[in-house]
Amino acid sequence: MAAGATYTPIATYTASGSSGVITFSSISGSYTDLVLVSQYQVSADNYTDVTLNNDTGSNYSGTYLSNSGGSPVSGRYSSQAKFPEMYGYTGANNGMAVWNFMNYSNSATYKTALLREWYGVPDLTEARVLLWQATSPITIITLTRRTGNWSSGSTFTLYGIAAA
Amino acid sequence: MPILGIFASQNYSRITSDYESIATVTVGAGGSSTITFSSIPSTYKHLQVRGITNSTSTADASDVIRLQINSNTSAYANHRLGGNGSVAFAGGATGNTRIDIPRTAASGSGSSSLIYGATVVDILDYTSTNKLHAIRVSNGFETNSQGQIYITSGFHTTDTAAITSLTFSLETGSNYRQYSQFALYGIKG
Repeated sequence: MAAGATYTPIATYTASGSSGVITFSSISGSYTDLVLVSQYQVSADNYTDVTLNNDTGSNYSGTYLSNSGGSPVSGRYSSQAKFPEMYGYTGANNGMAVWNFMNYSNSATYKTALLREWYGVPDLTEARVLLWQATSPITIITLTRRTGNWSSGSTFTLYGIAAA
Repeated sequence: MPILGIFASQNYSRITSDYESIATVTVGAGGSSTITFSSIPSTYKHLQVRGITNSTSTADASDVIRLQINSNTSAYANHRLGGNGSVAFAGGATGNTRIDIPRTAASGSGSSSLIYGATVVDILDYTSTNKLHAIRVSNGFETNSQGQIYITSGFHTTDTAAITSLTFSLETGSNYRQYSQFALYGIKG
């Protein structure tokens, strides 16, 4: 069996508090999967609109499993112009999100991602599966706060994992 | 210098050497009914399998991945939490011939063959010989008209041997479609 070290940090962004937009661009196609690890605070309660390759067509959909106490729930959205994810709450609340963009660099399949999200208040855990209906390799990931900014100290690190 | 707010992938050459690619199976044009990792080296602490899969089954928009460890054909247990976009649910089984990993994409019910489910399997302390090896799985599929997301656990209920092989098949007996891929990684401890 072949072996080689991988799980490479590609880029890291630490928010200053003055911007609601984070873009990972010119992502190399030399990996198999991408993992985006983030912990964040925000200046306004709202979603983060996540787009791939600047695509704003109705090509994004997702299904989620969520629980914030009581019974778990499941829901979904389809034919969106972005992934509406990473809801943020103001105050001391901290959010975490780990994205797995699977086989992002191939040109043969639509792209599926697995996303886990956690929040402090309200205490919430979620698992999501997301589809981007495009066969293009992912080269740009943009995370845009629908309102407000990423708070200072929020961090976002993109890793690349290369299969042997 | 990176541009604030628009941070391109640049100036990062560090590699975390404790996470290594061991082997990868990518399904060719003819499809394959099983994907197997055998003779898994014992030089790591943990294993992770990452993959995308599409079943050639036309019976439905999804299929169930089946996992067997060390070629065992009985005495598996697994439990799961899931959501299908309408309801959340839980389930499980014991005494099975495999660990069920529901569900991945298939090509029935009008679903596009371009859609692949995603799966990440974690197996901790796989070389130990004094425990029943639990696995955890995050996986699901999404087609734009439906989707299912799962968190699954499973284990072989009697075998404490070190894990040396993993075999993935499909509940329907169908093939994994071309471009389906499982990649095995080792994590040092």
